Amino acid sequence: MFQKTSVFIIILFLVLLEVSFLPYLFSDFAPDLVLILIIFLSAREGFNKIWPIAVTAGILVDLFFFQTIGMQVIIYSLIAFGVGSLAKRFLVEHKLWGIFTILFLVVMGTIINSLALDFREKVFSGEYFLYKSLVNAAAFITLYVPMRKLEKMLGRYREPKLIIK
Amino acid sequence: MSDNTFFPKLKKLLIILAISGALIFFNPAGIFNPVRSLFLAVTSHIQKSFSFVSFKTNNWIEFMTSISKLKKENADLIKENNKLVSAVALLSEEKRENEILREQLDLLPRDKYGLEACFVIGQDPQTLGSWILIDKGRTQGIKEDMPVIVGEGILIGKISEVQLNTAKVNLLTNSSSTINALDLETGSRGVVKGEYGLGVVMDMVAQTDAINQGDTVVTSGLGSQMPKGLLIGKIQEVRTAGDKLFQNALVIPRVKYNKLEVVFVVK
Repeated sequence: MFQKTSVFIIILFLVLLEVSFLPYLFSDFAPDLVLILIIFLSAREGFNKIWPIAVTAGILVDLFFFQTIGMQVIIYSLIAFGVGSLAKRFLVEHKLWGIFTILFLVVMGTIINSLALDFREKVFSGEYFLYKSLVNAAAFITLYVPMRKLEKMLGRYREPKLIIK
Repeated sequence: MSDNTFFPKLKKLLIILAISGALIFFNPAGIFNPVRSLFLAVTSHIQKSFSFVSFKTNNWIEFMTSISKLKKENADLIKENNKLVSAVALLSEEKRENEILREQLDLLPRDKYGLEACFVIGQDPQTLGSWILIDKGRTQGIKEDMPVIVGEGILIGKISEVQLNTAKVNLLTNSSSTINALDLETGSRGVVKGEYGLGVVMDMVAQTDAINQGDTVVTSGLGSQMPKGLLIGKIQEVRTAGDKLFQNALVIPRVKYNKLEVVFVVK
């Protein structure tokens, strides 16, 4: 319960940052923090463990971004599924390789997310995709350590506790 | 594919897609509005704090990056100030002319609007120039379709959704935004439409009507709650095509939407 509440609060916090904080600082290319978190967790934990987070995040984004409920749920679920499946094949224990793989997945996820929005709004250019990918990649590198901590926290609350009698 | 968890995962994904697809397809107007309203009511103060901190941080960053330019800017400003002193004399004459013109065109004096001051507490992070979120809502008497302005009557958009303590403003550049407009210099009428967050176009202007580069575009007051004479922008480029019924023009709005801090709802 504590874990679920924590995850919900973290996602809500990130969504609020995306709507009310980042657009004023980054103007046209605000980083997609929720998307980055979902890609990171999907790559590390796989779709089976992450889908409830992807669905919750999608609903919250749809609510706060004034979108039809379900739009972002579909996009995040597809990205989580794709990333989870790909990461299983490419991610190995080597730390640097792992980071680069997730970085690549962040860029791919950004493009897919922007394309899905473009399909609806038809506003983006090639330049937009490039800048958005770069900003999200930079945001991923900046947020790597906090996300690892979050991952550990999720793991800690998921593992059964060892009871010594 | 040796992964024996693939098909259960695919099954889960398909169930999520089916439910979400059904939600999108059957989405009856307003079914999620109470939920959205609740979330916005609970988080509006946090959003207000976030946007306030963000504005201040942005101002501070801009100030710090501009320090090196200040000396040159100061010298330029002294020169500009001298020019402005002489321009004021000319403008006072133009102000009188403007008042006469407003009277002739039957435009509402700008100090007669009932205005509700609101803070901008959020904006669309995905397609900028699409919408903003303000910190006043149903409780403060905000209603759908009310015009939203800045400064002395510069129109930026209109209210599209109202929650308890917040409201969504569709900006002029929003693709769903349409407003009846008037060329102040020539009197030509048309419809101002948003171009997917990128700009504003004055469309549906008859080929026989005159519209020129640099003309001022204002609201015509036809239909809805939009008062006459709110400034929309200036015409940057006129696009005419001989084979079309109408001509259109690219209009440059007077304000940068991503820098808005305070706006006014015309009640």
